This record gives sequence, C-alpha cells and structure tokens, in this order.
Amino acid sequence: MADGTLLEIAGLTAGYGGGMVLHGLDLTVGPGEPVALMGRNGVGKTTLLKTVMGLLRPRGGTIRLDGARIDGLPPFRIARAGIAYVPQGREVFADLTVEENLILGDLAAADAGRGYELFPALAERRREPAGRLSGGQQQQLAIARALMARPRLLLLDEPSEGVQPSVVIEMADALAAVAAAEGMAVVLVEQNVDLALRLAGRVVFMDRGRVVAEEGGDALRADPSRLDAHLVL
Amino acid sequence: MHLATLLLDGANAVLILMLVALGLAIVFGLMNVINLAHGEFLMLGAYVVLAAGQAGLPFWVGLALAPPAVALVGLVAEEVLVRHTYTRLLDTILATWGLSLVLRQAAVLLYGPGSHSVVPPDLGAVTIAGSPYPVYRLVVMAISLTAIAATFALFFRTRFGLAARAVIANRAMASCLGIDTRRLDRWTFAVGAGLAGLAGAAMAPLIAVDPQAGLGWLVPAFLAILVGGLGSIAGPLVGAAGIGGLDSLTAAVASPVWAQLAVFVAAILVIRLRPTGLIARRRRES
Repeated sequence: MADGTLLEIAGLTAGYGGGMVLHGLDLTVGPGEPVALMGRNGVGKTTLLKTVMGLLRPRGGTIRLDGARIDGLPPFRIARAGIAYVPQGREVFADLTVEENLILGDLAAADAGRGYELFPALAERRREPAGRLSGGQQQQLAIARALMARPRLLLLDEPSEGVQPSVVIEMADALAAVAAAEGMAVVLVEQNVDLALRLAGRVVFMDRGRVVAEEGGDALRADPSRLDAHLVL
Repeated sequence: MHLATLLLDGANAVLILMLVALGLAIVFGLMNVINLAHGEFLMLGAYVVLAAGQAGLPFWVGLALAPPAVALVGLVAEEVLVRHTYTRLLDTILATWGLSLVLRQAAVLLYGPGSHSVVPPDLGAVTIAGSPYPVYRLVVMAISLTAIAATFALFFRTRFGLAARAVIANRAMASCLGIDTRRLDRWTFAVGAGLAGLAGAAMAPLIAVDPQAGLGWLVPAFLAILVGGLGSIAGPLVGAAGIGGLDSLTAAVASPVWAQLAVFVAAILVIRLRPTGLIARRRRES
C-alpha cells in the first residue's frame, strides 16, 4: 500500500436541509489507493461523495487533500485540486457529442485522445450526441470524461448500475490499469460485490453516516462470506 | 413604397431583433435570469454613440465603443446586483426591472428626458430593384449578421462556448468538471449586454435616442424567444424572424397598431399550439 495520505476526512457531518446524513465520519485514503465503500441504501455513501466534491456543504469536520483543507470550496476548485467525480446516473451531457463531453473533462486538453485510448468504442461514436449511447457506453463516457484531467482521486458512484456485466468487467479493468499506471486513488461506491472486489484494495463499510468497519481486499477475496457479516448489520 | 424597400426594411428590423433576442436568450439559458433591463442596455448603446458624437469622435468610433462600454455596465450590474438573485427567478425579474429604472433615470439625469438624434454617416444610397436604399441600413444588416455569426462561433466553436453549453445543460456537473460557473455567468451576462449595446448603437441614427428607446424592443424580443423556443440558441433567431418580419410587414402594409395586434395574435397562437416553441418542438420529434 502507498504510504502517506491523499484524502483525510475527519469528523465529517453533512446532510440535506435540516436532516444530517453523515454523523462524524472519519476516512483516510492513501495516494493511488483503491477503496470501495459499501453499506445498505441510505447510509450516506452518495452523500459522502457529494460532500467531498463540494456539492454539499459540510456542517462540521474537515476534508483535506494532500494536507490542504478543501471543505467549503466550490466544486470547480475541488475538481482543479485533483478530484474527479462520476455521479450516480452518469450525468453525461446528453445533447453534446461524445467528443464534447470528453473535452469538458479537461478544457485545456488539445484533443479527446486520452478518453478514446481508455475506451476505444467511444471513438467510433465521437460525433454522436451522448444521449444516444447505451447505458454502458454512457458510463464509459462519464468515466473517461472524469479521467481526462488526470485526477489524483476519482470518486465513482455506482458505476455498474444499469450496465451489462461484461461491460462492468471491462470498465473495472480499464480503471484499474489507469489507477495503477498513474497512481490514481479511487473511492468507489458500489453494490456490485464482484466489481468492488475486483478493484478495491480495501473495503470500507458504512452504517448510519459513519464508517463502522473495514477489511482488506485480499481477505475478502479469499473469504467472501466475511462481506455478508458486514452488510447484514 | 416599393416592395424591395419594404422587404429590406423588414430584414433590417428582423436582424436587429435577432441581436436583441439572442443576448436575452443566452442570459436566460445560462443563468435563468429574465433580464428586464435588456432593452436599457440597447438604449445605453445608442447613448454611447450620441456621447461619442458630442465629444467630437467620428460615428464609427462611437459604434465600436458601444458594445464594450455596455458590456462593462453589464459586468458591473451582474457583480453588484444580478448574481445575488440567481436561483430565484422572481427576484431576478424584480432586480433587473429596478436596474432598468435606474438606467433610464441615469439617461434622464445626464441627457434630459427629451429625445436626441444621431446623424447617420453619409454613405449615400444604392438603387436596389429600381428604388434607392440608404447604404447605412445595409451596413446595419451586415453588422447584425456578423455579430450573430460571431455569437454562434463563440458558442459552438470555442471552448468557452462549450463550457457555457455544459453549464446550460447541467450546472452542477459542469462545476464538478472544473468549470468556474461564476466566471462564465459574469462573462455571458457581459456578452448579452454587449450584443444589446451593439444593436442600440447600430440603430442610433435610425431611431429617436431617448430614455425610452429600449422599451419597444424588450417585448418583441421576449415574444421571439417564446415563439422560437428556449431549447436551442437557434430558437430565438427563428422567433425573431417571425415576430420581426410579421411586425414590420404588417406595419408597412396596414399600420403599426395592426402590426402589434398581428404579432400578439400570432404569438398567442404559436404558444398555444406549440408550447415549447417552434424549434424545441421540432428537435424533440426528430
């Protein structure tokens, strides 16, 4: 495992309106480390990603990237600090072309070549509106778009949702290759156990807005039944 | 009046209305701000030409100064007023309505309530289809066409425009990709104001320059957007062609009163039959 800390979350409290979803959450992620976040629906996984990305303002606690506070910054500053986000439901720009979607991932990029290298199937449809792609290809596009700017940390929310299993495997392998080659850390929220275990070096379990347990990826791969113990809380 | 003159005057009105509607539409599309001061930005453009003339500058210098000067006013207005009302549509209407009153009163304080005239540059006339037509009006059309084309190029051929279209489609996601939406809002508002300023400056020699000069443009521009549809940047242009063309042709054939009536009846019919506008509807069907 890489040494040092990339992302350090301490005592994070956040939520929507009056209701808090995260209650003093602590989590650290090392540089280049792939982490999967698991837990039942409503325990705050998506809320955590949104708060790290700056879409939700934390009510308390701190978020640091490389030691510098990023909590309270607007999302574009957090993106420029090196965090990329693939939201649940992908949120590709349906009316814009595949190529335009990729360029939006890094407006300073000369072209979208990096995205096509990652998922070559996208190159064939570069001039088509993203809304015409299949669910799996839209997910690939959303991931490629996030990776355009060479982030140090990728936040990935339910990438397997509505995607064929074979495409999920392909996505996981492409992601793992980029993460390994560029030292990119990943925080993956995923219900799909196969995908989570394929990618994650460590699995963190959440419940009621806190981190309640964690396991090494190798231990879980050796004995998947340990997963059930955490998920049937 | 000769048919050719009639059609050319109609084209002139349509192209100017397109400029005004385009500025209004990009501001609404990007920021969800209904800018009731847009007509006053046009009025300011005309006053810049007037002021430049009084300062002894040639007409063309005034024309060139107007868009950046009005864009600057737009930039300041966005910073001190409009940005505080984002996300509250009703407040943007109230705030920009207040802004329009302030700008109109500023014109009254500086230049009095009466109207001024700007002498058009003497470019002579050309004979088109047997009747003389002032060259300056042709120049106004060329300026409008160029500005419309440039606006399209800005939005469809540049990275700034790509970022703006992304913000229009999904503001939060655009921000997550590192796009500074605040900066984009500010500059888009300035571009919208500058377009109105250009329209006002180009029209200055053809209209009475007074504090109310912008009022007559706001409603047709809104109708153009409603009729054309908000779904695309081309919508307002189609709407402006319909509204402006119908208005100027009816005014020439019958009277301005009948023209108003015809425009409103046509607008109501279009909005009733195609609530999403001409262009948006067509796009969805495809």
